[in-house]
Parts: sequence; structure tokens; C-alpha cells
Amino acid sequence: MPAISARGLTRAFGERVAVDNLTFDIAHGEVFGFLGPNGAGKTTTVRMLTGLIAPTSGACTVAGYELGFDNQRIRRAVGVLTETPGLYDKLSAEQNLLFYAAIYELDSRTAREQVQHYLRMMDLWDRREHLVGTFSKGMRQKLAIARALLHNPQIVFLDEPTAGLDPEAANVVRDVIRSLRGEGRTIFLTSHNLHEVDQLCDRVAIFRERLLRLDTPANLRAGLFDTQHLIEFAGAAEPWLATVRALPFVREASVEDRVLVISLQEPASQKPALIRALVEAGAEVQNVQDRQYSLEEVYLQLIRDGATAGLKKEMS
Amino acid sequence: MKLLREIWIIFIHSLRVALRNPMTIIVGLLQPVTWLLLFAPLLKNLPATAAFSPEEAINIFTPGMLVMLAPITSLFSGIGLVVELRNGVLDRLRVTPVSRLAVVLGKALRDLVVLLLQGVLLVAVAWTMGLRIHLAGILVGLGLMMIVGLLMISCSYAFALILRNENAVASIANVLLLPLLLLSGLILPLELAPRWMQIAADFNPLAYTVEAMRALFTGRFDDTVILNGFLLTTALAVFSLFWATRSFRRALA
Repeated sequence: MPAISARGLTRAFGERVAVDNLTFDIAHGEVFGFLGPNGAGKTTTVRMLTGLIAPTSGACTVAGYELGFDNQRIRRAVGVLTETPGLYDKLSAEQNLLFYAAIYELDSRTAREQVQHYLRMMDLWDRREHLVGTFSKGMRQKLAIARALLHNPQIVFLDEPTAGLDPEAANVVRDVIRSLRGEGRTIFLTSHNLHEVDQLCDRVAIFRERLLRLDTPANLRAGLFDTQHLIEFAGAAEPWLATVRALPFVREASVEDRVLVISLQEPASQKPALIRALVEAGAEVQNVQDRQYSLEEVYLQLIRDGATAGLKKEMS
Repeated sequence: MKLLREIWIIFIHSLRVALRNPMTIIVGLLQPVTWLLLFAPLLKNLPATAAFSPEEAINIFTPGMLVMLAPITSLFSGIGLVVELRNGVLDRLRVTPVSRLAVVLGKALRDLVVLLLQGVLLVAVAWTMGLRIHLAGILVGLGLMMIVGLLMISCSYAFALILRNENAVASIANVLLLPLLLLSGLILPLELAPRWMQIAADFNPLAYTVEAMRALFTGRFDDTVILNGFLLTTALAVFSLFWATRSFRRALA
């Protein structure tokens, strides 16, 4: 059984549909990225999956428990980093965590061990007795993540975990996510940091009120963009444009910044023939590489396509 | 058992947070004492009425003050909840398995402890000013005040969770306070009021509480107004508690 399984999950607020017919499965131990622009319905989705709000229609199981029937068990099985940290400024970091440890029914000894473990993991152990009101935004965020992990949940929802963190703190959080993955925990990660999502996630869902695409980062790139080969020469690239265009298996060729950009009909098998043809024609090829599309380019393309499709749907 | 444990955890935690800001508690404690110090001297010079003599005035006034304390202190409790709602504290609590009733009741207990301290202080100061009433009556009376407090706190929480705005909660509390207090006979007995006010007071639950409180303070334990006051106040407190809990469930939905 998947860690999370959603089927036709829909939530409307009056006339406005915030989440439309969302269907996906997340395997145990998977780091699942959930991307979308502000107001796309990401937080509404997380709130539904954690049993905070009921879906208008659809069904979902989280940690094997059915949403709407076993919400208490779901809340026990998941850890959540909410949009706002929701910490007690007048209490120390340790007191904040001990309160939640008590709520999760950890016995006194386990609670202290867990608090120490996660405060150390987040580089906050030396500040454990300081009031949270004196903490920087990054420290508060790290403390909130520690709190989400305190009861060893099998599924962790992290809403923008590195937002507002300095690079060093963000790196600590990313290491924590990797370590959680190593422990076999399932992570549902929403973020606007696409490079981070690319680094950390096994699969990524691009979402804007409805699921636009769901796949591994590599497959998302391959599915959306043709593989393009970038060829650099000792001299100018323009003279070789006619040569490659004459090849029957070349679909498109152009020159960008002194580099020849080529799309082939079957990139994997035809790339050696392309290079051979250029060398035989006398070209001094210095470098050949495939264009690497960033997840950001994939994301922006899908969001644009999604917006266009939505506009067409509204107009029809 | 689990519910009691959760209520205790939330209560102790809320108290700890409140004690980090002691000025709020100290000002809250001084408020009823100030009223008593400034109002009681006026009673001594009241002309004798059919309802009570000037010597009895402090005995009539103190039970009313105890009932008055509950709405004045408790109807504004929801303001703190709006702050917690806004800074994400309540949202975070809601994603834990803790019972919603435990959250509301645990927080309400914290506010009730402050109310109890205010009540005890009020009675102690009134005692030094000549209050001579039944000791058991005082103890049961403080219990009744706590039930009124729970009713008002729960209503205030519900307002806070529905309106999500401090100013709106304060405005509602102010609008409710005046008719609740004036039509309860807590400052002066309703026997002195014109007929139309007495009819209006019949619809004010606090009027029954004040009657019960006065009966308790004078040791008239067989008077049915005590039972009526307890039953009505308790029923309304339970109803408002569930209203607040329901509002908490829905507040962030």
C-alpha cells in the first residue's frame, strides 16, 4: 500500500475550486516534490492530506488510514511543518519541543532524548534554553522542523522548509531531508526552490489547481523538451550550419552564441553519425554536450501550458 | 483519562506561557480591587431602601461584583486566541492528535485560574471593608463564578474563532457587557428597577446567577434560586463550550 494515495481529491471554497480531481500515489520512502505557483492550491492539498480540512469530494489514504475516518491516527502518523512556524516566543526552544513531546505522549525520558537529538541535528542545542522570541527566522524554521520530527513520524510534510534560510542553514535542512530519506521516511515537500527540489526529490508533481504533470525530474525534462546537442568548434559555428542541415536525420539546427544547436530525430543513435559527418567535412570539433534543462525551465513551461489550457477551458 | 491528561498538558502549558507575561495577570488582579475600593465607600451613604440597609450594602454589592468579574474578565479572553490563530500556533496544534475539546478546555482553565484569583482577592478585600457572609456560601459562590466564567470564556473563544479579529471580539464583548450587567441586578437589586427592566432581566441568564450568588452569600441554601442559577449557568456553559470546540474544529478549515 502506498504511503499516500489520493483519488479524485477535490476541494472547493464556494464557487472557487482550489484543488481539482487530484489523483496520485506516493510510495513509502519517497521524497515527493509538490510544485506550483502561489495560490495554486498546494497548502489546501497539504491541509486535506493532514486531515485539517475535509475534501469536497474524492478519497485518500495516508499511512494506510482513510482520510475523514481515521484523522486522529493520520495526525499521529505524520509530522507537519506548517506555513507559519507557530512557536511560543516566550518559551525556550527546549520548552517548545517538550510541550509537543507531551502532546504526542512521549514518556519523559524519550522526550528529552528526542529533543536533544533533533536540537543537535538542527544546530540548536547550544541555544536550547534561549527564548524563541530571540531566534532569527532561520533558527525558528529549524526549530519548527525539529518539532515536526519529534515523534518519529513515518510521513513528513514540509511546507517551504528552506524559505528565508541563509545558505548554511538551508544546507543543514537539506541534509536532514536526505537523512530522513535514508531512514526510509516518506517526505511530501512543497518548495519554490526548484534547484532544491531537483536535488532532493524522487518525483515531482507540477500543480496548479489540478495536476499538470507528475514524474521524475529527468522524465519531466525528457517529456517536455527535445534533447539538444551543443557543438563548439575551434572557429565560428556558422560555416557548419549548412553541413548539418543537409543531413537527413537532423530535425533542426541553429547557431546560438557561436555554438551549433542541433535536434536529431533519434538522439541516442544518431549523435555519433552527426559528429562523424562534421569531422569528415573538416570541422574542428572542440566540445559536444547535451543541453541540460533546469527543473525551473520545465516548471515554467508547464505552468504556462497549464495557464493557457485553463484559459481555453474557461472560454469554451 | 486521555482527555483529562491532554486538558492538563494544555492547561499547564498555557499557564506557563501566561506567567511569562505577569503584568497582564497583575493588572487583571488589581482591577476588581480597584472597583471595590472606589465603589464600596459610595454605598455607605446610600439612603436605606426596602431592599437593603446601608450596613448591608457591602453584602449585596460583593456577590454582584463576583458575578460581574466573570464577564468583564472572561468576555475578552478570545483576543489572545485571535493572536494564536494569526501566528500559526492554533494551526500547529490542530495537526497534532490532541483533542479539540482539550485545547479549548485547557486554555479556558488557565483563564479560570486567573478569574478565581481575582474572586478570592475581591472577597478578601471586601472582608476588610465589613463583608460578613456565610463561608460555605462564599466557596460555593466562587464555584458558581467559575461556571459563569467558563460560559463567558467559551463564548469569547467562539467569537474569536469565527471573527478572527481582535477588534471585533472586543467590540462584541463591549456591546454585550452593558446590558448583561445592568439587567442582572448585580450592582443594585432589580427590585429597584422599573417593571420593563425586570421583564428584560428575565431573559438575562446573569440575573439568575446574581440571585443565586446572593442567596449563597446569605446562607439561604434551601432557596430554589440557587439550584435554578446553577442549572441554567451550567447548561449554558456546557453549550457554549461545545460551540467553542466546534468553532475551533472549523476555524482553520
